[in-house]
Amino acid sequence: MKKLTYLLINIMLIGKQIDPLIQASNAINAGLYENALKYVIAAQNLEPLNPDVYRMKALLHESLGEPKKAIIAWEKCMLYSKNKDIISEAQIHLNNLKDAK
Amino acid sequence: MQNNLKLVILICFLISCYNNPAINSSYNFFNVKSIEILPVEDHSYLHGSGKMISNSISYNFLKLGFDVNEPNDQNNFIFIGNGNKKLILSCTITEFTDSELIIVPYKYENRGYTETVLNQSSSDSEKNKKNIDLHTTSSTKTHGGSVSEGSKVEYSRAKVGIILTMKDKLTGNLVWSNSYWYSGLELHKVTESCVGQGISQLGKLFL
Repeated sequence: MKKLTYLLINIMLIGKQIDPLIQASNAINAGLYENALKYVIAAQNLEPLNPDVYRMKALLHESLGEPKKAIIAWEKCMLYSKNKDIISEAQIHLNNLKDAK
Repeated sequence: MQNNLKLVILICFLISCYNNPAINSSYNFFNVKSIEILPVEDHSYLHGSGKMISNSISYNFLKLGFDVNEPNDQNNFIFIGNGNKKLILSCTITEFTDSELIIVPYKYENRGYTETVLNQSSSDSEKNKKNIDLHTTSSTKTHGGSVSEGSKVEYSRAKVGIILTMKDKLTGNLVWSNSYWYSGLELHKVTESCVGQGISQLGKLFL
């Protein structure tokens, strides 16, 4: 029984390590934005149509001082999102980033 | 191509709906001498948030090229021009948080794959080297994909919202007002961007 529990915990831990979005969010919460970006790019390859991935990516680019890349990510976020709040957020960021150019 | 077209249409639509400030069109903004900035009250979430916003307002005016005066124990002043009108700018913080939780529903999509094995062999005729027989066989296997729900991903972000209101000091008439918000991963950058948007738009009245 103990061996089975250990095995299940290991499977859960390994499963979590594989999931790049979880790794990205952990890195964001730890303030490690460059690492988080690597995981988000990995997540983007797995889910190229997920607007939340692009939103996370855009926020990271903004924090890392990369406005051009942030603009591209927000545009893709807008393209794939059907959520009005997310589209509105993307629009505000795009206006601000384009004004700052 | 179709996606690009959708994006262009969406951007045009949103730009047309973009939140514009409310302006008193009869007010002559070129006849303004100064703007007095009222102290900004703290948001309940964070003590000192009012001071942060207030400093950011002064910074952004300075950045636009206006003279800023911050006398001790008095309100800050922005010097605009040589007119005779005085304005009062007030700012209300509507949102100030560095821990808004974003939850991303995470799905792992396995799109499957197609495997094609191509076998090619050739046999040369000994009598006539020019005649070469080619034998080709191919087999294709298609593996179906699957979509599996992963765990939800959570991360926190900062969000700042403000309402800027400007009125004539003498008459008390409201002459300009707008609200702004911004989000990001770091509170100080979000504050800077949020206030920057407002002051940038406000500054255009006098430039």
